[in-house]
Amino acid sequence: MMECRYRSVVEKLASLAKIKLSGEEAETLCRDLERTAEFLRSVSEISKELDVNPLYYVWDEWGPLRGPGEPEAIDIADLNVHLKEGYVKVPWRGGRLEEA
Amino acid sequence: MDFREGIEDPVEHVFNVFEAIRRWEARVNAYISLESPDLIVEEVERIARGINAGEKVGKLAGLLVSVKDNICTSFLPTTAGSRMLDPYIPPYDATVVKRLLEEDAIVVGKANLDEFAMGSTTELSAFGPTRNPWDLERVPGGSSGGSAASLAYGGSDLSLGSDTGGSARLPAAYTATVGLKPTYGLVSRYGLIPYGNSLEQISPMARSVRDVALLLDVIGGWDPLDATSLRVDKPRTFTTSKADPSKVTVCVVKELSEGAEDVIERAYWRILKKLESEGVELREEKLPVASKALPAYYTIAFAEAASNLARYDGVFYPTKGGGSTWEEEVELARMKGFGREVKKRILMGVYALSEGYRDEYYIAATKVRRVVRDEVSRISRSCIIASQVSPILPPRLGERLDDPLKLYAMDVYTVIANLAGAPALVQPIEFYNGLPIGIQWIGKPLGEGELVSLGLLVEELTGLAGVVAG
Repeated sequence: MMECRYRSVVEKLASLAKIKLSGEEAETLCRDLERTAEFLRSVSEISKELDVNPLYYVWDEWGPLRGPGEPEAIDIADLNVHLKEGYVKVPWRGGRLEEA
Repeated sequence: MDFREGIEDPVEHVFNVFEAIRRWEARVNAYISLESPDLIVEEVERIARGINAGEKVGKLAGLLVSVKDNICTSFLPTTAGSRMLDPYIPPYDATVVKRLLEEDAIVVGKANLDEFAMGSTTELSAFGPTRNPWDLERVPGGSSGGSAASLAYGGSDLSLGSDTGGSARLPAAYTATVGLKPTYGLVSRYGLIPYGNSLEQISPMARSVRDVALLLDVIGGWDPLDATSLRVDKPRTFTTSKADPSKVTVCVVKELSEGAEDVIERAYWRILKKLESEGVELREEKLPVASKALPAYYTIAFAEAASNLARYDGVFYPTKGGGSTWEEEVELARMKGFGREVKKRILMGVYALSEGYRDEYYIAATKVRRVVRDEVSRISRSCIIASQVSPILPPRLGERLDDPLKLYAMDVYTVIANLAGAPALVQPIEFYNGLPIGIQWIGKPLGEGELVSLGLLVEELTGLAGVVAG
């Protein structure tokens, strides 16, 4: 069987993603990745012709869909709900969120 | 939901659901974990006493709900279908689960799914595949296949799925159930184990449009715990009435109406013609960018998956690597904990975000998403978009696993709504050789009420509300 030409790329990606792969697994993933990368690359062709800003606010053209009243400014949540004696409420520091 | 209409006692109803689970579950594998029957009976008896005493009970009183196992529950394990999280019990309930319980619903169990919701068949669960109750040799679609299968055999009344690229709608089409992917931001994602944050929504599923609407009304609405939650009032779709055909315009988008198997295409046109004969206006539209939606969707989903799944490091979650250094521990834990498809998507995501490839993949995909969203918004302003759901009938188990591109192609019609952030409803329209065929309606943002309204009209024409596999 011919070795997958993406083998070194897969090894580099696995190292970046911190996943150890067995030899057989690396071979299968390599073949899958080669085909998948080819498929995904087709997007770059069309996008070259697109003169659009990829970033947008989802409802920018849809008027006041943000509910009754003015949108509230983003503020820091009430930390007391999430903290107990200055610590984040997690089970190993004393029970469920509701109980803490 | 017979007992709510006074036909069935709530306790008797629970025992009927238990009986369905006993008959089907060993063959179907819709659930990863089930709640204790004793606890369920105790709860339903409490509710029955309340009903009999004339007390006010919740909108979902006594209804049994299956919850996809990537939605956090503090009272049942939440595995996301992965060994990595076996047996993780979250310290909190997802907002949607809290809202269910506040309305007196009973969570019957956690439904099977493709690992971390990455799949279209529910064969990629670490806990074994789910089978389609309509044909046990076939898949129920995915990744919310457990939710759909539990509904299809009568093992739950309602279900919560999640939909990143069609994960609630494809299973709905394959099991003759109804699935609704809400407008992005309408339903809180707090407590949903993330896969593709910018695409996914927790999605109500049921055996009828009315039940889906009921569930949406309960789980929808603003949640301060989700930064992407829309500041809108709670949806009120349950009381929506059936559409007046003369006031409905359906846009038939060429690219979403072609390319499926003949039997699917014929069923699709039959229901559209039937609607037209009732007075619905059909209009042709085009969406040329649809052909690039699938690779754009997968690029974004892979990139977000790589980022989201970086948290599984063998330290905070159950699966440990047994390594002697931190690096080794992380690598071994991820090797043991993740299945092949998850590893592949993480690696692809890292690739798509890498220096040198980012513009070619990720940025290109987000540009395509922008165009899809703009085009869908433009079309859906004046009509409801009709679309096929899947290019094929439910495949046999194993049929699509060897070729990743064949697996991804199953989502070709459904990813559009996720890229656009638009709501989409799937409902059954016909059976072919005992296999269900569905149709998809895509609406404008926050246009769930219109989808429900059209869905009720279609249900009346097909007579397929509430069908259960025999």
